Amino acid sequence: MTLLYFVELFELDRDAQQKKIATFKLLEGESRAVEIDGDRDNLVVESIQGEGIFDYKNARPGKLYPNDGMSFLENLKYHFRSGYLSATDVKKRIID
Amino acid sequence: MPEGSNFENHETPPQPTEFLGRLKHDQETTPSKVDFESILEKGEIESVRELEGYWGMKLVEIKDGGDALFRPDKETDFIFEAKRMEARRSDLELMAYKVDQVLGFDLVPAVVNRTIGQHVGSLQRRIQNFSCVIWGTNWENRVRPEEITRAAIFDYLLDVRDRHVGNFIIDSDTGKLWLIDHDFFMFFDEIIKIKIIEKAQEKGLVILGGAERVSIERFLAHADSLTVDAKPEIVEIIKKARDRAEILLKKGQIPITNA
Repeated sequence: MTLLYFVELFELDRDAQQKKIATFKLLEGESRAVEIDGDRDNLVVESIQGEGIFDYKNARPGKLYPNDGMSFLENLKYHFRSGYLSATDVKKRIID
Repeated sequence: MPEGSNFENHETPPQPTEFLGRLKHDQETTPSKVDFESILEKGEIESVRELEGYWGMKLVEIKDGGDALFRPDKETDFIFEAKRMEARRSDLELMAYKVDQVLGFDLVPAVVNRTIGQHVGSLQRRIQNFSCVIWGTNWENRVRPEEITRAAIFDYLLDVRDRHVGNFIIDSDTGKLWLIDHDFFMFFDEIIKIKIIEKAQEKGLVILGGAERVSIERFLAHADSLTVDAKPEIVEIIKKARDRAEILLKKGQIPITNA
């Protein structure tokens, strides 16, 4: 039994429809790096990988990147909180 | 501030307590302004749709009035309670909007406090024609220079902490910039992110023009009206903004910041 932790990122389009543009996934017990599924051509997704995000949860200096695993995942909802771009909390699912 | 408004031409500035009432009157007589604030306050709600995401945001459709984003305070109360603060997210959102209105910059989409579905929160006009700002894509070339200068002044005055690229949006067609997300992190985060100020400094857009000076002088004349019945954290922010406004006028430009 393996747990998959994931966060979904939604974009609100001009017609007020939300579209999922990426899912950030982390497998328990495997590599610490978060994998990104979704629209890889979306500049927002590309931007997150390039620029990283801040650590709101622990108010630590420096940036977090997909390689930072769970810390990165946990901070996505703080980074994307405008409604125009919104991230979910960390969800988990059993896979096998 | 409606175009053509001439507060700056008064020999004696209007008294602070008069100002917001007069501002409202001006908005009510200027169609493009009236619509947003009064529609948000009084418009008949047609539907409320929960948005995906962590913070319980809702998309509110207003009869004959477009739609708006509702951010319920209850979802973020825990953050303020942990810091023993009296203010709530909706207080901060409204303060940012009022400061923007006093400055006359029109950078913050109209917002009001409203109760929806028994929950208090902020209801903010949804900007429809927008692009998210993406890191590394020269967003600054798609925005009018004065918008960057004014946004940098606004951010400097309010000592914002979290203006990363997710917290402003742009309308590439008109070169308009919109500032959003005036919440706990924007005013109290310990890690400072001030992308617009940095960009203004990089592009040499930190010098105050005549219009900006007038806006800041107007803010100084009316800052007190923003603290009437305000919660302590709001009063502190406005007090600091007043000090910073003095610095801006004295230096004639936005001071170099090393965030």
